[in-house]
Amino acid sequence: MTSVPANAIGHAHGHAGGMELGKFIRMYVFSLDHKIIGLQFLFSTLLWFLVGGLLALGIRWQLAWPWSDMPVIGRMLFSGEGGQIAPEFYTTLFTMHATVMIFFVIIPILAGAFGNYLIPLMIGADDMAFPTLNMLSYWFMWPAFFCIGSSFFMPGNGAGSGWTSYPPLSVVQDAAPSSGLSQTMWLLGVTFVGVSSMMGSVNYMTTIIQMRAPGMTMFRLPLTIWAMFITAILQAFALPVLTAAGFMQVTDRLINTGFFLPEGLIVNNSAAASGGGQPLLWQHLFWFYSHPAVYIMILPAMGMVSDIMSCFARKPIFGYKPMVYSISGIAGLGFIVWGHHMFVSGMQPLLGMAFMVSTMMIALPSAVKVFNWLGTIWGGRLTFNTPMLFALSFVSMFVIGGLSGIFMAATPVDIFIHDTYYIVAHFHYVLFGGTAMAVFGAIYFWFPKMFGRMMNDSLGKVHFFLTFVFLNGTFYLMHVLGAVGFPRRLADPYDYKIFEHLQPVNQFITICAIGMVASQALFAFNFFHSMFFGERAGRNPWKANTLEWMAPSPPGHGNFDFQPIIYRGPYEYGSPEVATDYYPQTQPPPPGVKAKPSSGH
Amino acid sequence: MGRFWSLLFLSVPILGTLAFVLAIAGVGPFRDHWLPENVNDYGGVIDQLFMFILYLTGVIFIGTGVALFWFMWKYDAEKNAKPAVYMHGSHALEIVWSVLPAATLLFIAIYQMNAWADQKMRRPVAEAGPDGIEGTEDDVLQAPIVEVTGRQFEWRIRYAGKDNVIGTPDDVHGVNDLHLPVNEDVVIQIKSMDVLHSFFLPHVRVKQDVVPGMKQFVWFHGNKSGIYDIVCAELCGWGHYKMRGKMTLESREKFDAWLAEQYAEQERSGFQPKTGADEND
Amino acid sequence: MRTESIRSRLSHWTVRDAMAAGLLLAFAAGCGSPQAEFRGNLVYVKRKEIEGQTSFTRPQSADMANILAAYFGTPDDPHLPKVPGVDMGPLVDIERVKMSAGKVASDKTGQPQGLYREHCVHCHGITGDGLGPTAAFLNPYPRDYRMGRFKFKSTVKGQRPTHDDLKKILHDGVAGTAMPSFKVLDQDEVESLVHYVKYLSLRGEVERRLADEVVELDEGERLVLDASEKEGNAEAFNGKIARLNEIVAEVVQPWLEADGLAVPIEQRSAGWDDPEAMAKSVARGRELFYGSIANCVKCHGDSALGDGQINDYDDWTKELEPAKPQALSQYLALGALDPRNIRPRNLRLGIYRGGRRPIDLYWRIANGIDGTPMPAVPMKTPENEKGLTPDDIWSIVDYVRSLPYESLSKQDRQLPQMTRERL
Repeated sequence: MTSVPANAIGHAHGHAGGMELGKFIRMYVFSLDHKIIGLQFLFSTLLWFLVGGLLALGIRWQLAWPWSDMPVIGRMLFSGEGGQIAPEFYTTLFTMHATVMIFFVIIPILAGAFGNYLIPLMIGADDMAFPTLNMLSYWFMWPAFFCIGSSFFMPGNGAGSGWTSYPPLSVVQDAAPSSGLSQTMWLLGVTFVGVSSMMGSVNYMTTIIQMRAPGMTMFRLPLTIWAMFITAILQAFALPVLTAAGFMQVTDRLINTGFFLPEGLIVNNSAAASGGGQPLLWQHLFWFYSHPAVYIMILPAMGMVSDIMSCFARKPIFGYKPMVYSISGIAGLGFIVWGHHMFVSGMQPLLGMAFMVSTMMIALPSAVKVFNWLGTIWGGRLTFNTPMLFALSFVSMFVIGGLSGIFMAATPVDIFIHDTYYIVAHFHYVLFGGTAMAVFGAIYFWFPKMFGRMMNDSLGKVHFFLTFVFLNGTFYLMHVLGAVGFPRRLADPYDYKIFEHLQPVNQFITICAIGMVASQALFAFNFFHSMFFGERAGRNPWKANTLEWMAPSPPGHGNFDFQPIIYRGPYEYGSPEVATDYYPQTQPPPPGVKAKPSSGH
Repeated sequence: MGRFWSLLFLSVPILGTLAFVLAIAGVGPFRDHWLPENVNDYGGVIDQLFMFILYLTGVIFIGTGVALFWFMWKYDAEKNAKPAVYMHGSHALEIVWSVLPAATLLFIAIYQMNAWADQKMRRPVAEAGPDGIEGTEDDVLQAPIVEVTGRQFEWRIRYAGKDNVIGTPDDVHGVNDLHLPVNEDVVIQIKSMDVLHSFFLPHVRVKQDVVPGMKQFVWFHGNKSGIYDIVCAELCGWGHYKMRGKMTLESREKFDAWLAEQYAEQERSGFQPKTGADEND
Repeated sequence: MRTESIRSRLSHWTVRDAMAAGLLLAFAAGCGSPQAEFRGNLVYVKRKEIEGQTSFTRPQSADMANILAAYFGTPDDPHLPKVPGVDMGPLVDIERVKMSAGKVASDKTGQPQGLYREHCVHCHGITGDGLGPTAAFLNPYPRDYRMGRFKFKSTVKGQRPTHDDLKKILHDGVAGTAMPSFKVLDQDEVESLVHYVKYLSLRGEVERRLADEVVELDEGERLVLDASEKEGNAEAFNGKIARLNEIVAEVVQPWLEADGLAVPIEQRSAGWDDPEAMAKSVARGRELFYGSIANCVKCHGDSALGDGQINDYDDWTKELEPAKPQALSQYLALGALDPRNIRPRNLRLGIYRGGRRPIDLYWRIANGIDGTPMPAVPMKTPENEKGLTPDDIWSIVDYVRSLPYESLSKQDRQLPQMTRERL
């Protein structure tokens, strides 16, 4: 898989031909260069993005036309049953869809791909602080890819107890077809992802603290870097809990430690070998990581969107410091809201009240950020090119996802909408409408830096339009489904009298989902075509201020062909000090103007 | 093109609001696409809070959506020759839009607490305790009328029977078919036999995960006879979707008669084969 | 019930083709749904081959499949054998069978279709062989209908179940197993599924009988003659057909008789509500439980925990010859599930698979349980003075029903730490 990006980069660099194999491998496969590693992450995650999308189509197929023969793969998998999906495979579909999307796409594409590529470039460093660790953080994804990928071919065809892996279902091997070996592989895979993320986050923190170019104070960092920095802190402190919990579940499964199993459990007529534990303990430990993980999945996107919006509004970001504080605020509060996933789990209801207050409060920094983005485009000169459209759609979609979160934070309302499609709508608006759209924007934005060529803007706009329309068609009506109480994870909800009339809506959603996946073909074409045939970009095609645009496109090893010295913050667009409407961070101030000590106000 | 994109973004609040309005009104293809009828005296508050938050967030949704549209429309570089405003923010605005949402959010949180306590913490009281005052710690809580146990993949049901105690030989056993009296407080004891399940009664706004090793209670006060769904709302394995149950709310007399009939059938000790060949229906 | 309009309104084909096209892009593979087919009973054929030290020729196997298809049709288009002198009418109603057959869908009038594939197929398999995709993970395994034998019924061990017996299982489920209750389905749908189960059973039994028949044939002989051979050979040709029809009739006959064979149970004599009489009966039941005639203790164990003997197999598993590893491995290679021991029931759990009514327990004890080592108790007859009387059986029933309430059975005793009572 990596040979694709490696080759591609080789061409982009234009000096791959005739290279010795050993040198090639050192340079492009086991490379220590943060840019190559970032691109390796990017290509791997985009490939998994396709897998995750197809898994989602499997889910949608079943929900639109339950038990009808699946085209093509139905015949391959379920010939004995006339081609219809088996119910346990449905549980595998949504489990693996979430697992792939969260652990193999969103987290690694944000932190792994963009974090790696952008951090040294944007702070003026020649590479990461620990290049070898950095390389390992990518290569530790491969055992994870192997574990999760191979679990599809094990008994049960992949883990099927949800991406949350709640015991006893996930621990008792007899509880479900997929609770056997494939569940163990799932846990191992997630652990490897954790190791990879941990290596990355240590590296990012160190690099951002230690390796900034002269003059690059903390408050001159672009918001992307601030977001990556806070994300790395979140990961570093939350991940050990998940890793430990994951190990506990593995030992529960393999050597019957019984952390999560109550006494005397009999599942599927087999007595559990151990007991004395508490199923809710897993939920606490899991969400102690996975709630911060939600912010790991959105903060870097917020940072990148801020950079893109400021650039194409030709205007400084509105409220730089409040933006930084709200990112930090989200991260801080993010550690004390995990219980809102457990309002109806059997957790002591008094705790529910406390978590309701903290959860309500975490909406505040997000609100501040939205208002600041609106402030940023107010009074600007907006250019509607592809990255800007994706960035704007991030704001529009994130508002929906954020506001629907308030319903869940309200405990009495959550009683009704918990585990319904209201939740599904909520997190897809945040993760697809938000993060994925931001990632698309970021790819269009930084593609010229990565490959030295522009992506096609017209094709990009068509891609944006289709994705935007189909995205809303797919996810918006899920709110309505949720309001009826339509539960998640049901293979055939239409047997319930209360849900039987909801099938047409689900069919509409499925058609939109097919459209959404299909429109990504445009993106794939644009991406690969532009890599070889796109218009040459030059160093700074967007006339942006931040440091990475001062380096060659693509930057060579060591990044900068000069020693960057930073004179100001990253968002000095339209500064009266210069005639141009942009004012790069490295450009010395004109004679007579004193450099300000830091950016902002 | 700026005009086109602005309008595309404007369509989000317009169509978004429209979808909700249609769903609430229940017109056209959106018939019955909203909160199902509530038949629980204690459940109305959940609907009210839902609608309250919906209106509040709806205003913000429309407000931000329209603002986004307006700024895109107005500050489109193709149509607007004015240079960008060089500014870094506004302390006053930051304070306004921090304090206002903070106060609103805190208000929402505190406003919900009573309803939450009613749903999950204040089980109906059968009689005031020795001190004669209801609402104190020595109240005698209402005993559960029935125990519902989640099991892969069915709801096993066990009525307390004549002696009002669950776990005695006069219990009435059943599966998936829950009958309860209407117009009175009903307390249900819920348990799980194997993995996590969630006991979800959409029409009475009750949902509670059942956890093996834990005994929990839910309660409601039904106010309309009818047949309603019991849904499992927590993934419990491959047959999760099969955990469909039926809850029948009926008058006390009908309920008692039904229970007596069930008990009689459960204790049936005689059988004569049917005669004739008219059995196939 | 599914609303038919939903499925027909958004026309299947346009949408489905769009989806297919999308998946095609991804998989770059061929398209089209497979026609559902019944699977042959390869395990039984293999067993016959081993027993008869022979091997079915290809034409012989093809004959079996063709004869079955001629008699019973396909999963999408089932029909019943038309055999002179056999009236299937009272047994299976083809219209009801059709409601359960085919793909999951609804026809124009709102009648559901494909109920079997919606509710049953993932465990019981499209052939009713108990080999659906989910089957291997269930404990106990789902029933294989093809022997025509069912455990929980009102007729004596060895006889076919009555229509009502099957219906009760669908209605109440089998407690303590993965078989769910279909109580919430419309009665019409349950009725249709019962007919479909009978249809699959008959088909499976005929298939087995055909395999038996093949073994009896001379080398190279076939079950039928080709149409081309009919010329001048009409007698042999018709003889073969007649023999096949006879097999079908033999299979159908016990089913037709079953409804009349449900064992009647006289209402218990009065006075059982009296606690004293009940206590006496329970004590008597206990005596019989441990006694040498009923001898329940032998299998159900000294404490009735179902641990008396744990190494036996049910008849479906015995067919795999679990004692002969070499034969077994051949069956497993053909898709049979790993043999599991059958465990006598733990009588202290208060879970009764065949129903908890006194009459259910009475039938279990008096009739035995078909397909399992559980025998019918010997009844007192003029020849067998030592047998049990109906009152004795009632005493055993009473004792068994009292077991879950003995202090030894209380589950709470085992869960003092974890049971947390809220409020």
